[in-house]
Amino acid sequence: MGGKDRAALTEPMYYVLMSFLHQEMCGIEITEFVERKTDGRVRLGPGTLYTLLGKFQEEKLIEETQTEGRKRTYRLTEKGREAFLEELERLRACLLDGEEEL
Amino acid sequence: MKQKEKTVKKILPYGLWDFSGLQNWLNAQAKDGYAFQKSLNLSFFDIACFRKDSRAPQSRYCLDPIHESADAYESQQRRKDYEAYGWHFVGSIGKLYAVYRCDDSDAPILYTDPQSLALAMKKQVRRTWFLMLFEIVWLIILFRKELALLPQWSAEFWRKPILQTELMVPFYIILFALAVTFISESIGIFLGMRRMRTLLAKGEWPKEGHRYAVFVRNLICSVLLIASIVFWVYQGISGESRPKGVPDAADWVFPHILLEEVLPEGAVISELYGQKELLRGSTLASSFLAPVQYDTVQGGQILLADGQTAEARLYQQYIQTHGTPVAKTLYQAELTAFRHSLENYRQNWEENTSSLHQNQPNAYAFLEEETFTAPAFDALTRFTYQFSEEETKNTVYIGLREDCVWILKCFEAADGDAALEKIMQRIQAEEP
Repeated sequence: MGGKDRAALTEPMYYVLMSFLHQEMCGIEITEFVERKTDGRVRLGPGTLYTLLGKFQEEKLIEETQTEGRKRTYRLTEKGREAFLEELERLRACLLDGEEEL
Repeated sequence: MKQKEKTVKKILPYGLWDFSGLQNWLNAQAKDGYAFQKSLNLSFFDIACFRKDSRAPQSRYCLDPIHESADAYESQQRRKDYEAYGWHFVGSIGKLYAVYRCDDSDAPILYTDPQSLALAMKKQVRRTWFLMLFEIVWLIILFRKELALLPQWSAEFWRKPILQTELMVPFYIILFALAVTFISESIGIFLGMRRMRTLLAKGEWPKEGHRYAVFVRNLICSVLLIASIVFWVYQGISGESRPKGVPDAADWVFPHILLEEVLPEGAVISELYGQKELLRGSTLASSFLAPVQYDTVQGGQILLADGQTAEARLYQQYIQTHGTPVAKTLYQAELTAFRHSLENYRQNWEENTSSLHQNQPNAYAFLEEETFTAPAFDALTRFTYQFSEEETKNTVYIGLREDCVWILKCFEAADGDAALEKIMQRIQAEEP
């Protein structure tokens, strides 16, 4: 897997990866998706978004698919999907632990 | 005709590492109607240029760490990306931050979570680390000879500041002010950025630092620098620090001896050299820490008792300082300087042994340093040496008495023992 030692994703990282699960996305679409998904609780500034996209590209979690003028589109790689699923598992475990203790 | 916009310049009140301080300050300026245009670096200060803008109070400013050079493709691409969100590039601060402006009050700020800003600063911290390292290495290379001398010859450092206070103290202040600014700026930026990035990575937004702390430090440095340069130039132009010639021994108002008194028994001076033949003239100089400084020389050709001719030279330096502690420091400095000159001669000789004097591998036939007590001096050191290519020995005395330092050099036929005896008699004769 190669991702066992990965640090936990921050909330913006988690939602950015989530946005690619079903389709390719460009920057504005990611921002809109995250805002819609979280009912406006998580807002992504462009600095935050493009820094995360740069990091994910470096780590090969996403890849750029096309550039049309200023619009760049990205998609999730297999490694990126694994990273997202790992994080999801971690969050489920956290949730279960918390509910058991209640 | 279009009226030229008036630019308002303001000194940045925060260090370049203070992301929050700078960003909040730009927004405070916008609230007052000043729109940021660009920044300039003026010696010790970073200056921000603003123009009056009636729409500025409705706008917001955000900083974005510049990863590569401001014109790199990545930065250009980033500008385009940000424009889609309503953020427009307006300028940069110190090649570290790109400044963006947004007039849409609904648009999110550039960085909405601290960890992403910490990531954005990663390359920037690395860049400032390399810059700091480069500057330190460059300074070490620049002053490598001086630094190598420090452990062995550090006492010599005080010689020039005492003998030429008015010239050397401003000079050292200038060097110090430049070095402090040069080094502390890059070290400060690196440490500040690293500290801020650590906080951001932990999920905390850093608070702004002390306003004007950097400004005050830089102001002190620049005032020191300007005052020192003005004083230095004045000293150079006015000629107050230049020594005046005193070739006639009658003008030497200090306990001294004459060449004719230190000749071997029965010898007489056949020709006393003038200052031109001696290369160096007798002078009287002064400085704040050493108000009276005689540096005299006498030399000539002498006729010995056996009819042979020889050369003889007598150098006398008398330095009256501003107090005993200064004299003690100068005494140590002169000792170290003289040892250093002997060592330099030896090294130079040895370096050229293979090419210039293969039969004489040693620079000195003998060299001896001796510290001893003498009635007229609080401390006295004698160097006796003979260059391997010469046939006569040289004697040099460096002495300390209260607030005065004497240096007595007897070369070739000038008799060192006689010189010491005579000078002690003179000193004691002048005692109240």
